[in-house]
Amino acid sequence: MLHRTPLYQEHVTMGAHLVEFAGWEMPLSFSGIVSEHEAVRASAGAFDVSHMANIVIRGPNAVEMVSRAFTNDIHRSELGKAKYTHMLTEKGHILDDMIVTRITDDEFLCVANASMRKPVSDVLRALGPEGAVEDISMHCAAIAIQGPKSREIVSRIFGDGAVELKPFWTKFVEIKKEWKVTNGAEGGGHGVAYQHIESGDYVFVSRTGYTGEEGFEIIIPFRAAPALWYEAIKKGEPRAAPIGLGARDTLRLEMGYLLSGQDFHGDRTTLETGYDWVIKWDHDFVGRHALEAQKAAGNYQRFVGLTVEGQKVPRNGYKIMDGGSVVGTVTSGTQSPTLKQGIALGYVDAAAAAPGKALTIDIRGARSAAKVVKPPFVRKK
Amino acid sequence: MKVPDDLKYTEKHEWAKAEGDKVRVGITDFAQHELTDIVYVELPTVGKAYKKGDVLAVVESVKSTSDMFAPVSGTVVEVNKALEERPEAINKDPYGGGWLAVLKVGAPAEMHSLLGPDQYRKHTAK
Repeated sequence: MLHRTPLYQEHVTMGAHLVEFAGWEMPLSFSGIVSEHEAVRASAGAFDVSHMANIVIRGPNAVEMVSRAFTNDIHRSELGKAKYTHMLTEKGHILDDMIVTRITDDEFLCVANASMRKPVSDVLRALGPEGAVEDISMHCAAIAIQGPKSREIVSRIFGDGAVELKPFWTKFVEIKKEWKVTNGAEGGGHGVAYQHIESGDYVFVSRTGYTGEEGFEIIIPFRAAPALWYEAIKKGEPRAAPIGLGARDTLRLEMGYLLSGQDFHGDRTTLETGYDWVIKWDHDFVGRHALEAQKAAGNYQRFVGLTVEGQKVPRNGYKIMDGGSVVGTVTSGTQSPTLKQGIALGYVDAAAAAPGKALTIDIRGARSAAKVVKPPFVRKK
Repeated sequence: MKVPDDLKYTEKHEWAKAEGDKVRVGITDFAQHELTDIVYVELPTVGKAYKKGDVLAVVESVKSTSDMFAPVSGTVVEVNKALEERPEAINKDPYGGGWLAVLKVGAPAEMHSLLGPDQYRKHTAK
């Protein structure tokens, strides 16, 4: 069965192009991928991200659990601080990437990818006592407002206080709106995050996103989502354009951000992705020994950006060549709506990974010239 | 979703229009909508013969790459060069300015094996 977000009916009414994604029926596009992409870069867009997994880790063991579960030093986060991190398998492979926020001294909120909701919850549960992990995903909706005008939109709806946040900081913001509603559902969770959201008195605002633009992600009760969506895209000025998963993908690709399940799929380590900064070596996280061994051995493939000459578009699975040898594989590719040029992300042998290196990509039997670049492909104005 | 009455269709979302002993082909409104913004088209070679079901063109959108199959067998006599500069014409006008190629057909009877507009409407409603 496909899950539907609380905004499903809004999407249908607007004539969105719906697709299945990670067990959810989600909008791929509204006005068109390229026009939505441009709206986010130039002004602002609103994304229904209610499919994302929301998992709470709480109790006296919570600090120890997050230290063990995540590569980054979530266990040292200040209250309200959000951090991007990886969760690894014992072999050092990335199980998923996520943003984890410290809610209280002994409570953390992990926002992971929809398709990894169960695997991530299972790992966390295995690290702690009964009741320390609460999956509140089906009780929370989320809307991301992203783009240069996102600040004006979020402050228009929730007041100036809501946007006084540095990047990767979060806060609960009181809803001073008539659309205060609660889920009225039992069993969501006992943690502070869930109780705050469920009360209908607060929304959870974080200054995070997946577009490279300034932006905010807002977690709200399921039943309040249509009212917020309406205020963001249809009421008042400035307003956000509704954005589907298609533009979400091209926006993140232009920034070189990883896509779970595509740029890694249980087969790549954090070192290979080049996201070394999410590894803090001074704590004993799952997968650490495998990473130490890989680092010592060196000579592993590296995640790179590639710009492609000509009009052909690189895609997942295409071979990357250096002369006559295969040196890597494309994991994500598109025609950049900003650059109007083919761009790709993928893994290549260490010897072929230096920025500026000239390579080729085999596109349906013909070679397209490509050049290694260090993402982002698009710099902020 | 537009499905003009004077065209024939395939289950893979190509359209074909008889023009004397030639057939003009393209992709349907349904197909362009599924593909999203089209950014590049690899057109067939003029003078080359294709069998029904052969890959005739490759259509690249922001989202994906898709093969377009020959709805009927024939030799390509004309391709829509304008798509090299403006591939988005397929999104805007899939049955008009977004046509892909004209084939000189060897076996006109193949046209009868294609779907009619009502059959194609039922096919896309599934």
